[in-house]
Amino acid sequence: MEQLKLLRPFRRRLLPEAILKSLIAGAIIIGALDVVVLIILHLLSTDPGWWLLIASLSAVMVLAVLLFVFKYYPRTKTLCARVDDAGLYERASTMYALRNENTYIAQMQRKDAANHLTTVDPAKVKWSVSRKSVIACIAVILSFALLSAVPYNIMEVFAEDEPPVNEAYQRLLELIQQLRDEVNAHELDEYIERDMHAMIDEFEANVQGLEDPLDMAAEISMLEDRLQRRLDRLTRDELGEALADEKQGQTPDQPQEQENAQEQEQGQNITRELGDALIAGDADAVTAALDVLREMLNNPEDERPIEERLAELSQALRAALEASETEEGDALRDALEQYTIDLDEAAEAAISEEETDINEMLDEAFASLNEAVAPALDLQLQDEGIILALLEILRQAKQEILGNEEEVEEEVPPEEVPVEEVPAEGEEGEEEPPPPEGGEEEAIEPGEEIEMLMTEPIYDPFAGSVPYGEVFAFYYAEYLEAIDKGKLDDGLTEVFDGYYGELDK
Amino acid sequence: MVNEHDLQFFSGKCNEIFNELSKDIVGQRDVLECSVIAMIAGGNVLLEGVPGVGKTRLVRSMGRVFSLPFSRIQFTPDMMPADVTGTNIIEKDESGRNQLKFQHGPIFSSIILADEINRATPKTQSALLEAMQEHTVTAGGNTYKLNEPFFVLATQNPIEQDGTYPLPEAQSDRFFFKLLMGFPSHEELINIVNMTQETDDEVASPVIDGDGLLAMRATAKEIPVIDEVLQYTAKLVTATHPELDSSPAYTKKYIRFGASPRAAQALITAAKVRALMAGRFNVAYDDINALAFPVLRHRIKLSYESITAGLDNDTVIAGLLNELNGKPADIKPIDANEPAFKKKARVGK
Repeated sequence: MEQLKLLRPFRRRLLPEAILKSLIAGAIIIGALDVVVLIILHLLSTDPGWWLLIASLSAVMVLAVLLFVFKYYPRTKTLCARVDDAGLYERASTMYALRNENTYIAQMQRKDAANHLTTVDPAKVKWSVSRKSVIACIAVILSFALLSAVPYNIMEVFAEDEPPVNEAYQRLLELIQQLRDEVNAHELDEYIERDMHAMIDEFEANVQGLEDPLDMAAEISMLEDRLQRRLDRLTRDELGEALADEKQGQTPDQPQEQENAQEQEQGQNITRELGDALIAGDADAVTAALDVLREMLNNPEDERPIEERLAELSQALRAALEASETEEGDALRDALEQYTIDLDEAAEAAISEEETDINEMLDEAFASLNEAVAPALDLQLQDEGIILALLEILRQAKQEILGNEEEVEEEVPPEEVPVEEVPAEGEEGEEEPPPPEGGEEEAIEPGEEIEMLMTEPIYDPFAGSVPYGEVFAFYYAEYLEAIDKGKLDDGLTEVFDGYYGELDK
Repeated sequence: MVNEHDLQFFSGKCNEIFNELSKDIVGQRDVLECSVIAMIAGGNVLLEGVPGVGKTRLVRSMGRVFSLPFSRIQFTPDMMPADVTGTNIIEKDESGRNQLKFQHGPIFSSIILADEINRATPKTQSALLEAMQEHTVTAGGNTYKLNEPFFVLATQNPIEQDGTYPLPEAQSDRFFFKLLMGFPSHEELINIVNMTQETDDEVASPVIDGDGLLAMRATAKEIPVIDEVLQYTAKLVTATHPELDSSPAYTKKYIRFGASPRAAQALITAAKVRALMAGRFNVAYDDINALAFPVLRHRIKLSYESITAGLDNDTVIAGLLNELNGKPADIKPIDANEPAFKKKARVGK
């Protein structure tokens, strides 16, 4: 329709308005999204740099183009309405509506509209931009600029005003991580590793929310105690010496019957020790017990036939296995069961008077036993190694938490600490180690000053004296536990309250 | 279908009509315009004005210009319906036998001046209802068709309401327009005096007859109305109803009853005539806005709040138009003497 061409000047007039509206609308939409994004970035203390501005400007451009094409471009119908506002009394709109009609009145109307369109100056068609949209655009741009100017670490600034975290608790958390790292650093058997992690998890649960360094030290001491108990197994030498002492305790002038009875009782003791060692999975103790049993077997004073002694040994081993209630598949159990079978075979060979070197058979059987037990021994060594490492870490952490300024010296592993011989009952041994200071033998009056012993550089668990700062927390924990269990009288409770209160000061 | 001749005929006759009417009526341009629009559109008009402003003269002059039979009915409180419609009378036929014959009443004319219609009883007023709407009269069981074109111009006095019977809504809704004839201005009064010093009779010459008027009516009906204007008209009439959820708060506050669908019909019909009279071949928003006053002022009932606020129908209509066009509603009471069509300058599209 020719008359529609008359609308071109008006369209050119309104194109800038459409572009402006598209840009404003795009800026409002993208700006609003940016404000939300900036708020989130501030909460996360993340600085977006320049990328957000670049991305926003690009998005505004793209959105503006889309809005221009699909919404704000002055379509003919809209254009006619805008032109009519300039005083055409809906001539243009009616002209567009009747563009496909050919009645006389429609033709007359188009002609009338065309005549009037030529008389209207396109400049009379005013731009119409919503004031609200302009205000909204300015508002989002200002908000964007304002939020961009605010430092992104504003949350941390606020956080700094908060009271500082308990340093001791921080150290405790570091300790827990150190323990876990130490366990992971060692190549441990999965069961040992699992046990270690379980103990650390339990320790972590127990220290949750603690604020008092003394309480923290008490918990550390309890963990140390637990690890120490796990480590405190009789070593081969210790067991052997204990058995040797037991043997030495026997008097030579006892009649043979008494000797046999004593030997039988000794065998039962060894068998019981062997069972306990099997339960504990202590390969060291197992081989020590077996050595004792072998020594009993090869006792030159035992005049019983070899097959009888072998049978007795085999029975003792079976009894120990049964008492231990260990299951098949247990390394030690399997090794011992095989050993008993070898012993039975040796006994049968002795009975059948075969030309077989019994001792050679026994040596081979024992060698097989040692080979089978070796993996268990390895496990035991692993266990001991990790426990010692953890104890060292715990000791150092406890000192730091308690604020001990003394230099932390390397603690000598218990294996290397010279073990003082424990004198047998009734035997006058060396002078008894002095009782620990502050013990029950000394009555401490409330308010009395107590001289702390902090001169021993090396912690000797058997020396009877120890730097007080290292054990105070443990003693205090034990005291609290005793109170909880009602093991102390009220009078003693009052004494100890005063005692520990002064120590705390 | 409308052709060039029809359009030229319409345009030429409109000018002549106004020129001739101006010879008898001084000023009142808007009333003249609306009266002619109503005549062409085929609607009835209710004229309200103080005595002596030229209501009867206008109707008589229009009768002369349109060369249509004119009849005047002066309503009084004792008037009966039969006095309007006619009645059966007994008369002797040629053979001398008595027979009933229907004597046409004054309503059997083309232009009816129903003077002071509010003085008649509602029963008598209702006699006009059928004639105004259906252009028929039923009497004695027979229905008589009235002349075409048929046009009722009723008048009523806005003062001295004592002893009058306000038109029921059903009847007032049948009036196409309600026009307010205000007191003439100083210059107009001087012109009236000078004119009537020469002669009291109407001097307007016949311009068109009934067939020509019907032709003009048919031509005006062909004027196109775009959908947006139609939507706006419907929106305007709907907005007068306070019971509707879509009506503005302004309506809910100041209007008690809204206009009937006849208002929308009258608006579009009259707008087409007005557009063509203005030389346009399309209806504009301006036509609707300008005609809203004569179409709606007698079709809406104001609420108690508007009465206590001193608002009249035209003020409320103006406020409603501003509300629909995004402007603040003008609620200031207007001068009652201000001609109705001068208010159109207040409202935009």
